[in-house]
Amino acid sequence: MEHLISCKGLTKTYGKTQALQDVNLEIPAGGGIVGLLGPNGSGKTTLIKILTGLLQPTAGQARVCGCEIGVETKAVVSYLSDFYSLNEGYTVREELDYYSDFFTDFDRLKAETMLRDLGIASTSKVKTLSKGTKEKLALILTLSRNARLYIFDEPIAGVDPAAREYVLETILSNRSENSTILLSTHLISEIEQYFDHVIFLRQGRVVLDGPAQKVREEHGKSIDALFREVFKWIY
Amino acid sequence: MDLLNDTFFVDTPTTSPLPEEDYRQNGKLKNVRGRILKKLLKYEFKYYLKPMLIALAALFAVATILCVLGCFLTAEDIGGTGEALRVLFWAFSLLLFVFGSLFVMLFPFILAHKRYKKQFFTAEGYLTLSIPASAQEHILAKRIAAYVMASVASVLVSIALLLSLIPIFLLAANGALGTMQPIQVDLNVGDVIYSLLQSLIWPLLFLALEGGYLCWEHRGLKKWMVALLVAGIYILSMFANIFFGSLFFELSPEVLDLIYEIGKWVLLAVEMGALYLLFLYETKTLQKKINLK
Repeated sequence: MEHLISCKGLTKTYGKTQALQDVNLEIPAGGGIVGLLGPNGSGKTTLIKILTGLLQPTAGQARVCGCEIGVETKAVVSYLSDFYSLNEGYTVREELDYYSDFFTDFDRLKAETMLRDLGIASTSKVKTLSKGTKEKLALILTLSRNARLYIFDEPIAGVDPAAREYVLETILSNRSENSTILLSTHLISEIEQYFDHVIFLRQGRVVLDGPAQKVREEHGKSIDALFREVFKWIY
Repeated sequence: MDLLNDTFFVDTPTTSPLPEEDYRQNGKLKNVRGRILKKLLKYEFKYYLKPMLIALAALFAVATILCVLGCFLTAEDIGGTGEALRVLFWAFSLLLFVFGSLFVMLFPFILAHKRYKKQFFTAEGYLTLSIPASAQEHILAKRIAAYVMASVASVLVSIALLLSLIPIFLLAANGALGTMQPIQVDLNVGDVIYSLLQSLIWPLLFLALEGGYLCWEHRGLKKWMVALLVAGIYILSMFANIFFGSLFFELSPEVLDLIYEIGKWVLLAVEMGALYLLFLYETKTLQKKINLK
């Protein structure tokens, strides 16, 4: 069976610090929201960076859509970092041009519709936008790609509760069909109901990996409660 | 409950074909790859366009003012006690203009370095490095654009300097500066090609500093080591040229010429090779070592 994401013996060290230790994962294709859960420093961002080709593993192998991570996988992965990275010197329209040029799966019409709905003028300079508007713009650009895999690194960590709801709704209602969302967070209660699959990371190791419903049934508690139990010694 | 060993595996079937296969079957991926460098270059040149146009327009405006001012101040019918002072003022302005011109010549490198840092070392790097382009394509696009802009700036700065010096040429034409002998240069095709290739080196050396910076930032090599290595090879090659030339000074002029000819091409190849090695090392560092904060 082909997997959308597969990791075998994935290890990443920074000097003497082991960020990831022998991570083995298999996430199937075909839709769903995968929660990558763990406290700060558990290796979530490192794993995401490896999957997006921004970091090379020290050992082991990661594949997306059966391909080794590289230029080809970048063409099918839509990634939103926790920095909401944008070309600050561009106007909103130029930002759309940039995405249209480099991502063949970018749906410009969809992006323009979403921007219009939010009242973001295409002539505005990105650097003049407020932090919240920049976050929305980055989110729109990421979701306007008809990608196979969307990766969101802590999309709701730095935003207020009202904005969290907007971010989650936008993600859920605008992703392309049959796509998979890998979403890292430590704010589980806000999003638990949407998870189809959960992965718990602790000190660079996968401590739990399975369908959300199965996890709830087997442990007789919510993902949030289980998370608190697993990580209670860390805090 | 031992969650460390409590692992579930999902048996949901794959529901759709792999997108890469789609791309490959339709030849889309190949087309996309072919155009990536072109697209990267488009955005690189776009970045330089506005600031360079402003800098060059300002330079030409000042050159024109200096030219008109110079023609006026050095005209024969202008005399009086303040003449020397006016000419001195013009000459001083010209000197400042030369320094300004040098800055405009270096401006593309400043812009190049600024962009390099912004795109690979700041949050913008998350977007830059997420686009489906290889490290080689990223670096190559930046080098080509910076090099072309530096070359264009050099040519235009030279023209602006010539424009500002028109009054001096007019004085010379009127015989005010004495009789000037025409300069005769005996050049062959080989010399021209060699000079052109040799002139490629210095801007590339400057751009190599970025490579050194990247390697240092990502623990590939110590700060500036790569750039110093290349610069060192370049400087050593010049000394070697002189040294080996002097060793054979007792030989006949024909043999000396031959040694010199071979030597200069070998050294040029060494310089180019060093720059190529730097390019390889830099792209490998970008690909393997980068870790955006």
